[in-house]
Order: sequence, then structure tokens, then C-alpha cells
Amino acid sequence: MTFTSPEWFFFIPLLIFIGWRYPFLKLHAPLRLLILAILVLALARPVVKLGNGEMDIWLMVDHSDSAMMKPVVNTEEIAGILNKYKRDGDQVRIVDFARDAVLREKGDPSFEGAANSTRLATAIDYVLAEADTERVNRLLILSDGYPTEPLDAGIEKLQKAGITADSRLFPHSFETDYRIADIRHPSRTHPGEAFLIEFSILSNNNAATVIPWEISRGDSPPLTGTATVENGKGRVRITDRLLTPGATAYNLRIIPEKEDPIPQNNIAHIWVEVTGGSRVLLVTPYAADPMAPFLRAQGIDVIETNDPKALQPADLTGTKLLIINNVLASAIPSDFLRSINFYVREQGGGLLMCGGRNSFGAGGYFSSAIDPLLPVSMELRNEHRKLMTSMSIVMDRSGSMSVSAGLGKTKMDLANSGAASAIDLLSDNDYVSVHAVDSSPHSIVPMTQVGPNRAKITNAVLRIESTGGGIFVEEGIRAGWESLAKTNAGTRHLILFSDAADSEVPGNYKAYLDQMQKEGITVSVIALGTTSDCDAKLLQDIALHGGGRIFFSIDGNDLPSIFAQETVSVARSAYIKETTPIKPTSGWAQIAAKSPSWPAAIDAYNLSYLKDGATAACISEDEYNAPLAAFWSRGAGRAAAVSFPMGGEDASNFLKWPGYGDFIQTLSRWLMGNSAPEGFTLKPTLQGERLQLELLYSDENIPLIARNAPSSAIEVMSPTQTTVLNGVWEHIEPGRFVCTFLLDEGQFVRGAVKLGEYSIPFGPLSSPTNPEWEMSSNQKEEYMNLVNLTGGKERHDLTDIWNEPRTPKQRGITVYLAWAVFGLALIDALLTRLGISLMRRKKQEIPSP
Amino acid sequence: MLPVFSNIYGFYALLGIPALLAIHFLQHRSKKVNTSTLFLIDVLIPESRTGRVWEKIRNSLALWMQILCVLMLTWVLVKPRWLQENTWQTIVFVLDDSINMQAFKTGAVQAVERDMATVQSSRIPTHWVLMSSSSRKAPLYRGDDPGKMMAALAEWTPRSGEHDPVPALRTAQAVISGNGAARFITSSKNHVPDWQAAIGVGAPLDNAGFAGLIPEEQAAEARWRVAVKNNSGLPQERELVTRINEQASAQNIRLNPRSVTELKIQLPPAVNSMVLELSPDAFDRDDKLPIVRHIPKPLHIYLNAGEEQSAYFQKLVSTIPGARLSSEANAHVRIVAADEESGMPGGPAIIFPTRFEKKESIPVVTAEPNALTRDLGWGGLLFGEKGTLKPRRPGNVLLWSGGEELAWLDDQALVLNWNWTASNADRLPSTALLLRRYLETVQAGVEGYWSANVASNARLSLPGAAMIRVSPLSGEPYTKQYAGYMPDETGFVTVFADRDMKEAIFDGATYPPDARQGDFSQCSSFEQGSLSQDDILQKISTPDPFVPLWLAIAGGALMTAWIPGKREREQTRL
Repeated sequence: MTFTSPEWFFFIPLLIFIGWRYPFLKLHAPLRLLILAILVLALARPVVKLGNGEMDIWLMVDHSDSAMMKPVVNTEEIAGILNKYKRDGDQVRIVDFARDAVLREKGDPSFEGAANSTRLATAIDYVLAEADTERVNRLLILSDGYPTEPLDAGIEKLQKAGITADSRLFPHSFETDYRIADIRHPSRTHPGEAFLIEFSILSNNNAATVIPWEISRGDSPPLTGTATVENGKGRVRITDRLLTPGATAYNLRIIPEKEDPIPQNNIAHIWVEVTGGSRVLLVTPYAADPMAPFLRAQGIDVIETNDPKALQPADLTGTKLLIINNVLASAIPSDFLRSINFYVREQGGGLLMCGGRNSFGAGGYFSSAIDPLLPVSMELRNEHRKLMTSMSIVMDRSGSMSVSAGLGKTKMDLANSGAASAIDLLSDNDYVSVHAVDSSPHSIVPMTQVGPNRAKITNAVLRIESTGGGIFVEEGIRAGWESLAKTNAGTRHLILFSDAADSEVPGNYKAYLDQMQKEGITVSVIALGTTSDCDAKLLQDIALHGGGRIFFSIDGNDLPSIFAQETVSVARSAYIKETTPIKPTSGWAQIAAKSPSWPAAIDAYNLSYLKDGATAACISEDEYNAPLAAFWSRGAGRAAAVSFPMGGEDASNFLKWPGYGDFIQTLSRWLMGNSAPEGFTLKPTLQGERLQLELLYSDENIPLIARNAPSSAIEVMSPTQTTVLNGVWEHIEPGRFVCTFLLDEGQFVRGAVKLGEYSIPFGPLSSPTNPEWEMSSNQKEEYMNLVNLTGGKERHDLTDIWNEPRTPKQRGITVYLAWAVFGLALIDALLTRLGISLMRRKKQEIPSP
Repeated sequence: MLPVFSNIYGFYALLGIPALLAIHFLQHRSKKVNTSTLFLIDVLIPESRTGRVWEKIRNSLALWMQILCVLMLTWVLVKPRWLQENTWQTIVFVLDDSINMQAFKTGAVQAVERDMATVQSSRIPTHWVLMSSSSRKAPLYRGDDPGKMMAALAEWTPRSGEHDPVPALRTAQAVISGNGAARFITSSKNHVPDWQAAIGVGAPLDNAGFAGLIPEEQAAEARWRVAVKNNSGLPQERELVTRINEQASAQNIRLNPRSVTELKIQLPPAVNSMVLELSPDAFDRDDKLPIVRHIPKPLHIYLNAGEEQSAYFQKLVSTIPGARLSSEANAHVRIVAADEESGMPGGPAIIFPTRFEKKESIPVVTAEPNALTRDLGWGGLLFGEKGTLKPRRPGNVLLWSGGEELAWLDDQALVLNWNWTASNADRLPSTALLLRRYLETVQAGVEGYWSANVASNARLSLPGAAMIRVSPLSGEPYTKQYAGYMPDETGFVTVFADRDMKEAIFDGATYPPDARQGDFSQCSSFEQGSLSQDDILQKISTPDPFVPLWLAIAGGALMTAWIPGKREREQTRL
């Protein structure tokens, strides 16, 4: 506690004198003494310090691509200077940031997060969450000064927290930069219709220069040409036309002959949607899928793909029905799986999953992005389980796991949750072991039966912390294998969770895996990262030799569901390969006028359970009564599950069924739903960050509009996140609605307009250029605003920063003391009036005459 | 300047004064004092008489000093703050401009009044801003006078359809710039973003009303289908009154819950307008529907083209309401073949070339982005010969054939630079739509009388318009200068070309613009966020610097109160 006005303590001798000189004032009485003491204390204006004034400098190091490592290479030197001149109790704390932020002492010495954006506001949030509010905090941002997200909220938060942001800029010294800008193209066109693609080439060089350019479409050879850039601007125009419905990506590129300082802004990507027609996208492992001819016989355009890894969300454009026929979930890219939900619910698409050994729970679809869409639940019920499972989970706890995954969680936390969800899905009779691995394996849970120990095991797993360094793969596999070798369960499986960019010391893993296979132990890999990471190939090879699956997760938010998928596919799924009679139900009548004469039996099926609200067309006539063909409506779209194989050797009986073609045709017709009514035209336009949808309708559709006001939704996809936004339709004039969305640059958008039961899909649309390389003056201005509005400055002399005023957080207590004086004064008045004394009186003697 | 108090609970300390008075009403308790009988007890006049606790209050220095002490402490406890010079806060009320707010205007006014009272109690100088949630409308009031703001609020009538309030709310946040507060007054929580402080003044209402007017194919017969929507969850029996001139006829209609009922109506011959009325309900804005006979604007077309082209254009002209062929002298637009040598016609025209050059191959036809070519397909256009015309100015090309111009706008004229008769243009829907769009554009720019049913508040381009006379179905007729928009009210309008209002160029009926406004199922009352004045006060004021002085005075007063009276001092001495 300190005193703002300690001079008032000089009153104390004065009061003592008054009390001595004028005893009748009874200042020595306890109550009055207390009142005066509190009063003097209040006059001295005491404040309670909430800290000791020690300063924390948060050195925020920009690792984004556009900063070109300049802040990073200077960090050690700057941190060294700061550490040299700091005072006792002061600290320098380094936060590395780009798309994510991480405290260096918690993460890797080298920043492992994505560098394709400069999320300074996110990094500020991170610092505010980590900062000790009782200390004096100050930011020193090392950056090139081009944030890619708005800073308004960050400025306000810093102001409220009383934190100043200083800056040390590392500016770029561009001589001559050329970049693509102002791209114009139609977002929608008709098949065969010619259209224009135009873009400008901008430069800070006014001299006339010839710049070569090229435009490529898919795998076609690029179209090339040159443009003259004069007075800083040149223009390119080409004509093209697309023949088939769907979405097509164009890549635009300029190739300046001199070395360009920012080559990243020499490229752009655009999408053109070709409307019309309705097609079926059939994802199948079979070279000639038996369903395709029957679908084509209805005049439907069927796109067959045997390469699920090449699927991307844009493939759903123009698709009325998606059929996944016996393909593993892990073989389908996660962004495509995530996009199916919006495709069905909002865009009115149809989804059909057909059975086989690689579908449903066995195919890893439990808890996947499309699990909620399917009319059947896939996890095997305990009472139907016949085999015991032993599972060994080997967890990477290297430094990259400490990177923030948002909402105050690290990737390690998410991985822990994933492992916990896997344990949760194991039954009481199953066994599990967990190892955390860095340079050596650490047993977190020895091979233990789950039943009585479930809570204890889960608690132990949730407490695993990242410790730095990389994961030694060989050590991890060996430890897991040794655990599994101790059990003799029917199914023995190892899940290796590892960083795809930091999996070290594989050693003789192949030998281990071959031996494990011989012992009937399988290995799957859950990799944090992408297939292009440096150790991705190693991990893929481990999964291949281990006889299991491999999953890649970019940011870790989907780790819990991946662990769950893997656990169910190993321990809680059943592909019943025995001839099973079919029992029809009345459900088929909901989608067809006539019930087919079902085949007597099928060769195999995936055991699943009908969800509430779904309808089964036929069920298995065995002890399970499991749904074999089930369907329901989801949002604007429809989904169906046929749990027995529709192709391959396990479908030999069913393929012989004369009603096969009619069955698939009827089901696909129902799944493709209703076409949008005539008389509506949707025009999406993306201009900068503004997406405008224009819905035109004819007079004939006024009653339909009156019954069902239009609603719109867009799905904004980033590599790690999917967000659905809803818009407001403004009725601009009769026959015309307009709805506007504001998008962040670089976002990939698909959408749909719903009119009651109808849906008009559109997209994809995306901002053509990467904001990280926009490097506009607005971004720089916003950055400098952050510095100026929080009271900071551009720091050249780093030693000086410690001399900045340190105002520790304080709280005045004068008012509380005044209340005390007030209360005590009233009590004193009462006691005085009543003649009550708190002091023991001396026995009064009778005075002698 | 008077101070503002940041802790009004400190005023509770004033209760100390009646407490002191009560204490001083109490009798002094009698004291036992041992004394010699030799000493008469003059000085020991009993201060307490037996039998009564209360006595008449006596004026004493102690009492007054104690009251002074309480006053000083109260002053300290209410934490007075002095406003800095030239400081103020800005309070912005954003009023939801949706038409359905008409049903809740009283609640909106009361909500604003409540907030105003809260703000005024803080006594912080305040700039008041009253604005509409429609970003197309100017602020209703901006200034320091709350009375004038309330007057502006009283005159406010919400008239927009469904709209996004977020742009207006962002503007409000920018206006306060962290130095004030913005409140959104609305009828439904669905309209409010999470970050916006708002008051909901709505309530679910059972409403049914007109939801649209659908002209029948043969417009000349003045027949329509009228959509009536019951937005409530209950069936409704309503009376439908048809008023034509002074005559009214009524019929009962049954409206099923949450459904649209279509009624067929027709204007009798020689009658140009009528009004449909539903029996009133809680929201009367959609209970009346005025209708006028549609009379299209005239468009005179001079046609001088080849035989085949003439037949095609005669058919095209017959499909455009109000269009007819005329002499060249009276024509608004010419359809002619021309070339540079014979001279290009001025003004609106559709021009074909007279000379052609044969093309070996037909390059792809590509459209420039333009309102005339938007969404039209040109892949099927086949032309064997291209015209020899060249654009006189660059920049207005509509169609390209490879790298050459195929169609363009030349001043006001549309040039189609290919051999029409040797092409399949007459069988291509895109050509017909392009020509129709062009002719409709010319028609819109022509001065001439027409009449139509239009949405209220709709933008309507009427070349040469000067004044508008508005006859609302509810309210008094008025006239004003025509500003390019239909009035907000439902009713009839006449637009005049002269200020004396003698030459009418447009008669119309205006109906509510957005049928969705009749649905009150999502309306509710709620409060989101608060109107806290504390943060603002901290920013724009300084604490009272004399607090130590007041505390010292309080201490001094207290010590003075402790000085005993003369008798007491003597007693003490004894």
C-alpha cells in the first residue's frame, strides 16, 4: 500500500498535542482514536498496488510470409539487447505469430505454424490471455506492418487493458514490383457460352515494360501472351468457353523478366461456374461401377471417379447427387467431407452411401463430417460385440503440439481430447495403453482393462503436456508394440499420432511393422499436417506397412472426431459377411409408387441402426433387424444409406437381382429432389470483399415468394474451418431481391438460396488474390493506428523501452475509509449521547472537603 | 459547472442526518456522581428526567458539527467528478425502419424516453442522434436538444421493407467513436447482431393482409390475381370490401393459417381504379390495396428495313406494351439500315449495315458485360457476313466476333453489324431479348402518359416529371416536388410534368413493398446490453481535487462536536 498524500501524516503530532492539551475532547477514547486514525489514513489517500511495477515486454515476432523472415532473424539480437538492459523483476517474453500465435517458451524454438496470413489481432488476444494483469505489460511488435485482419477490436482491448504497443518495423525495399489486380470475369455462365476474363497488371514502375502472362485452366496447357505495362498499368483480356456444367478454376500468372521482389502477388485464382444440367458424382473403387449404366440410362450425366483423393468441394457444383460407394473416409480429403453437409442441407443435394467393407463405421465414417447426414448410426452396440480389442495409442508430445488451436486450447489439448474420445468408445472389456513420446516413450497408461479404470485413464490422458523437440517414431512404435504384445485380444491395433513435419528417427520401423503384421497387429497413423509436409511420406509408409489407415489434420480441431472414426472402424464396427435374408418394410412406399420384389438375400452388410426420423425400406431378417436401405430428408436435401455392397464380389447375389436397375434409379431420382421452379434467376457477384446475390423472380412466383420468403446461406471455407453465414434479403423492387455479404479476402465460398422446399445453389466463389501479398497502404495505416492509438511508437533505441513510465495497477481505498469514519462517527454520537463509555472508568473517589 | 456523481449510492450517507437528529432527541442518560454533601450539586443538574426517553431537541454546537461532518463525508462518498471542458457523449438511437414497427411505435417512443431519462440523470452533456436503420435514409435528428429529438421521434414513420440494419449500426458505432452509446430499437431479436445493445419492443400479432398483385397474361383486360396471406397460426374469417368509385361490395373470405389465398379480380370497363380492403386487424398497413388500370407508355417506332427484318420487328413490336409503328416524324426510335456514307441516324435507333464482307470462318461471339447483354447466350449466333460499319468511339462494344466489333452502342443507337437476313438472329432468343431490352430502355426515356401499380417507396424514372400529388388511403392528400421515388404511403399518385399540375404524365397506385412485414411471429420484447454511463464518465471527467480538504473539514467538525459543554467540562473537572 502506498500513500498519494503522505503529508497529511503530519497531522498525527498535532492531534496528539490537541488530545494532550484538551483532554475533555477525549481523543484517547478508543472509538475516537480509531475515527481519527482512519481519517488521517483517508487524508493520506492510500492506494493498494496490484503488482510491483515490474514490466513484461512481449516481443511479438511476425513469421508471416510477407515479412520474409526479417523480424525472425533479428529476434535474438533484439531480445539480447532487451535482456541486457532490463531491471530486476522485468521479463522479455517472445510470442511468435503469423496465422496462429505461440509463446516461444511453450512451443518450438522454430515457429511451426502456418505463415500465409498475419493475424496480429489474434496474436494480441493470445498475449492478453497470457499476460499477468498485476504486472506492467508492453508490446514490441517486430513486423513488416501488413496485418491481414482488422485491428479495431485489438486496439480497443489494448486500450482497455492499458497496454501500449510499440513497433519495430522491417520495411521492404521494393525497386519494381508487378502484381495482378482488378480481375473481372463472370462467376456464372452457360455451357458453350464464350466469356471474357480480364485483369490488370499494376506496377510502381512508370516506364513502359512488356510483361509476359499465362492463364491455365485445370490440366490444360496454359494460354500465354504479353501485355505492355505503361504508367504503372497494363491490361490483359482473353476469351474462353466451358462446355460442361460444374466449376472450373483458372490460374492467372504474370512472369516479369526481371526478378520480382514479391513473386507471390504475381498469381491469382478464379472460379467460373457453368450452370445447367444435373449430374451424379459417383465416388467408387470399381473401374466400371455397376450403378453407372443404370443412372446414365435415365439421361443423367454421371461423373465416375476412382481417385477420391483428388476430390475438392468445387466438384459438388452442378452435382445433384453424390454417391460414395464403398470408399474409405480416410481416402477422401477432409475439406470435401466437410463440404458435403452444406451441399445437402443448404444446396439441396442428395447423398447416397453404399455398403461394403470400406463404408460406414468400418470405413471410418463414424463421427465424420457426414455422420449426421446419414439415416443410420454406425457404432456397434455393446450387446452386439463379439471380440475384445486391445488398442495402444502413441501420442506425439513434441514442441509443435503447444501451438494454439484457438479458444485457449493447444493442439496437444485437442490430441488429448481425441485420445480420450477413443478411450470413451472402447467397451469395458477392451484394453488400452497410452504412451507420450518425444525423444523417448513415456508410459502414461500401461496396458489396462478399460472397464473399471475408464475415468482414471481419461484423466491421465487429458493431462499430457507438450515438452518440446520432435517425436522419435521408432521408439513410439516399439513401445506400443510391446504393450500390445502383452495381450491376446482378437483385435490388436496401434494408433500413432504424430506431427507430419517433425517425425524424427524412424529407425528400422519397417522391420517392426512387418513383425507386428505377422502377429496380427495393425497400425494406423493420425498425422498433424498435410501430405506435403516433410515427414508425410514416412507416416504414409508406416500406415501402409501397418495395414491401417492414415489421416491428415491441418489444425487439429478435427482430431477428436478422427480418433473416434478410427476407434469405431477398428473396435466398434461389424461388416457381416454372410448371406442374410431381406425383409421388406412399407417404407419404400414413401419414395416410390410400387414396392419392388426384393431379392431373397444379400451376401454381406454393415451392421448399423436406424436413426430417429429415418425410414427403412428393408431390414435384415436376422437377430439384428438392421436397416439395409434407409433414407430421410436433411435440410433442403436428402440422404440415403444402403448398407449392403452395391458392387464388388460381395454383391454377386444382389447384382443378379432383376430389380437392381429399378432400385438404384428410383432411389437416385428421389435423392436428386425437386428442381427449382421456373421464373427465378440468381446472380451472384463478387466485387472485392462484397458478395452480392440478386434474386429475380417473375410475377407468377409472387404467391410462392409470399408463402416462403427467400433465405440465403453461404458456406465460407478455409483450410481449417467452415462457417455458415445467413443473409438478409432486401426487396428492392417488385421482382428483385438483393442480399449482400461481406467476406474476408481469400475466403472460398459456396452458397444456396432457399425458397421453401426448393434450393438454388451457387458457387464456388473466391477472392482471387492472397491478402498476405496485398501489402496495401490501408493495411500499413491500420498497423500504425494500432501503435499510435495505444500510445506506442516506432522503437529505434531498444534500451529506452525500460525507462517508459511504469504505472502499476492501483486501487484507491479512500472511499471505504470514509464510509468507516461515517459509521464510527454515528456510533460515537450515539454513545456520547447515551453516556456510554467503552473505557473502564476508574472508581470515582469522593472528594474531600 | 455542476459536478456529476459517479457513486450515487453515496447519497445514502445523508441518512446520517436523521440518524443524528434521532440521537439528539434521546435524553442524556443520568450519571451517578459521588460527591460530598458539602458541595451543593448546582452543577449536577440532572440531564435525564425520569420516565421519558425522548426529549425536545436542543440546539447545540455538537449537533451542527456532526451534521457538517456527515455532509462532508457524503460529498466524498458520492465521488464527485468534474467534467472536462468541451466534453460530451454521443447517444445514438437507431430505429428499426421496418414497416412492421408501425405497430410498435408507442413502445419504441417509451423505450427511447426511458433511456433518455437514464442518460439525463448522469448529467453528462450529450449529443443526441436519432437515425433510421435503413442506410438509405438521413438521420432524423442530430443535436443537443432532447425535446427536439423526441419531436423528431414522434414524426418518425417506419417505411422500409426487410433490410439489413448492420450497415446503419456500424455507422452508429462510428458516430459514437467509443464516447457514448448506441441503442437499437427493434421488434425482433432476429434483427440484432450479438455486439449491439438493443431494446425489443415487439410482440407476436395475428395479422393477415395483401401480399402481392399478379397481373394476368392479358393485361388489357385489367385482370389480376391478388395474394392474401394469413401470417397467424389460426384460421381467419375476414371481410373483403371492393370499392369502385363510391360503391362498395363486400364478401367474406376464409384464410387458412400461415397460407396464401389467391383471389381473382377484374376492373370493370370504363373504370380506372379500385381499392380492396380487408376488415382491420392489429396491423393495418397491409389491409388496403389500391389498384389502377395499367396503361403502357407509348413508344413510336419507325421501321424501314428489309422485308424479312420488317416481319420480325413487327412481331417484336407487338409484344411490347405501348409500342406501335409510326411515321419517321413521330418516331421515338428508328429501325433502319444505314452506313457512314448515307449518314447514320441520330438519336435512338437500331441500325443495320447496308454493306457486308464475307467471313471465311465465324469466330466465337463474346459479350461484354452490359445490362443489355447480361445473361444472354451468343454461342448459337451464326452469321455469314459481317457489316462494314465501325464504331465511331471506343468503349461501348456489346458483342465481339473474335477481335472485331459485332454490336455496339453508338451514342443512343444500337448498331447490329451483321447481315441479319443471312444469319439465324431471328431465331435466337438472345437477339429478341437484346432488342426488347433496348426498346424498353428507349421507352423508359420517352415522355408520355402511362399508369401502373408500383411498390411504395420504389424508384421510378419519369422523364420530365415536376410535381407529384399523393392521395394516401389513410391520411390527407398532399403535393410535392417529384424526387424520383414513389411515396411511402399506400394510395394513389399522379405525377405532373408542370408545376401547375395540369399535364399528368403518370397515374399509379402504390402498395406495401414487402409482404414479409406482415409476419409478426418472430416479434418479441427484450433488452440486450445496457446503457452504462460509468465508462463514459471516467473518460470525460476528472475527480474532485479537494477531497482531502472535505475530509479534513469533516474531521475538524467531528472534533469540534466532541468539545463538551461548559457543564460537562465542569463535571469532568469534578
